[in-house]
Amino acid sequence: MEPNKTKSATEGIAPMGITALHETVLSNQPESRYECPVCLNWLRDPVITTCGHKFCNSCITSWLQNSGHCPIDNINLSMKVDIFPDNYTKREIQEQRMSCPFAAKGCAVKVTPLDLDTHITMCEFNQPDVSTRTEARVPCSFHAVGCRDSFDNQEEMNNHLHNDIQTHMSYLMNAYSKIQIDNDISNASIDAKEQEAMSLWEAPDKNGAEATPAPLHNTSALIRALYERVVVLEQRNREQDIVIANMSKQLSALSVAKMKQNNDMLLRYCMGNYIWKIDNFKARCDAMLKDHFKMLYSPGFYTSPNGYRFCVRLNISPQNPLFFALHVHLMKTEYDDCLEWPFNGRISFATINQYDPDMTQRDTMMSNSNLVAFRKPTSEICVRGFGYTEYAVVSDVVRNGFVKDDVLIVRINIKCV
Amino acid sequence: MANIAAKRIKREFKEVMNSEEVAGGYIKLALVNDSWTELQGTIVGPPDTPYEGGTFQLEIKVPETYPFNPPKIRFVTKIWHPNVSSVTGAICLDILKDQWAAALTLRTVLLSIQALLSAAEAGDPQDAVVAKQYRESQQLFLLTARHWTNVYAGGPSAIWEFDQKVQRLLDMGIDEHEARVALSHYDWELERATEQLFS
Repeated sequence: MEPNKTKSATEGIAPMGITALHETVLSNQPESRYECPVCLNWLRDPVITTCGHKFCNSCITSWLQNSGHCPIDNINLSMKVDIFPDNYTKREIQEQRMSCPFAAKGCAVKVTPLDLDTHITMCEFNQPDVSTRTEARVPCSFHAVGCRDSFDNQEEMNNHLHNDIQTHMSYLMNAYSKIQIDNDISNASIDAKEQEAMSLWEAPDKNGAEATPAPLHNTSALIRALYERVVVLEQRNREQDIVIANMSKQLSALSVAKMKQNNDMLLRYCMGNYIWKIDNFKARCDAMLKDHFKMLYSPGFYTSPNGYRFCVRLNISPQNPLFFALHVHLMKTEYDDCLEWPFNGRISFATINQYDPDMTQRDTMMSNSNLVAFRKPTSEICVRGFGYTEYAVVSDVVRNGFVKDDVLIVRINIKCV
Repeated sequence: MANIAAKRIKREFKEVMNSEEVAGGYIKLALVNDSWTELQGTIVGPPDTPYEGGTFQLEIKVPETYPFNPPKIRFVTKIWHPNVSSVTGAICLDILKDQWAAALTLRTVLLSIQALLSAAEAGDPQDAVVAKQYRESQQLFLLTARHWTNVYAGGPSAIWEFDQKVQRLLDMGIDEHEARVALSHYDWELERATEQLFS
């Protein structure tokens, strides 16, 4: 038995949080040659089979009641002719000595592995930790009333009890009179307080006239002061509540603003690479089919933080209602005067096939500096767009896997050249 | 629970936890309650099979008479395999029945079930429909198994065509799993599956 091996084994299981495992059950883990393959425990009354496998006598007996085969290699076995006691192994196991798992607490017992479980259940050290045992000396039974003597054994204490009856009696007498006095004092003070409280609460009715007797004046003033203090604190508490409510209102307004700002940042810092997710696509598509003047516009995004600003327009093609049209439009920005006009660059569309990425539709076009669409925009959104009037067949978009969970995704990449 | 059964399961649990297979993430074992009578096993689909990339949950019930009788194990995760019922998850594996031996452990049994996913036994089927497809249209079987692995066991490869067909039936108001079962049973022929569902 190698103690190291078993130690690491118990540690291995600890992270699983199995508190129900009795640790000592596991620390008693046999080497494989002393282990019964049926109960996985130390071989108890080991027997060996004609096919050369060892089992506990009771384990193989139970097994062969329902089966005629060896649990390991399935060879036919008969209880009568194929099973022999293995006294060699039995002796080897009996020669093993294991220390009790409570050795750290002081148990010096060493037993054979087979007896270990029995020993553990009755081991005197197998007890929840008692915080350091009080010294072996026994205090006198009159300890509580003031006797400070203590004794090595019961007999000495008996002697002491017998000889010092007088002393113990006087201890008892003192204790009793002390209790009596305490009792009187507390009774008296309770009465006084009751009276005082009565007069205090009746006071306001009597036109503020001080009805309380003079000796109690101090306490009643104290209570009054405390009561005023309570009122002040309650007032302050209410004020704080209002402040907190205001602050949480501000906080939620702030977080909304932050979210909006985040969105704006995303559009500004996408570097011309915008992913337009159109949710509720089916409903929007139906609306557009019904009314061809309905169009979907993406939010405006920038080719660089202070660069050109574009948006994308998706609508039913006016020429051919079977097709979608897809265009980009320039949008006004505050720094348009600092940019080069007309815009020069490359514009790519990719409509993502969400079931089969290989089928994604990609198109790239170059800007044309002769077109109004690329001049400096004069309105918020340039009236002229640039793109495809017949970009994709409406029914194909829905049928061929471009729409998933009712979302269509178009990636737009605009690069200045 | 009989003492020997509980004791043995505790030791086996430890064996599994310290095994290379758990370290490598191929199998997992967890307790369901404190009584050691019920455990939850997990195996991952073996590589180069349609189950690759999937994670399959197993329900393990340990009888009082363990280890003299085998543990009762079934798939909780739905799986398309000739030796596993596509309805109940029951497993047809000899060592869980007449070939059980007391020296087998939860670890070896989980590994055997994992091996069964690599090498189906079509001669001894649990699910006749799956077995027939396995024998007669191997290609379709592989796709169906991969599709089930994707949908139920988190496998990586979706079969777009199958998803679409399930969606078609879903649009008709049929329960998703029912639709998938019907389509799988009728070799993904939409007409026959629909006919069966509405008959």
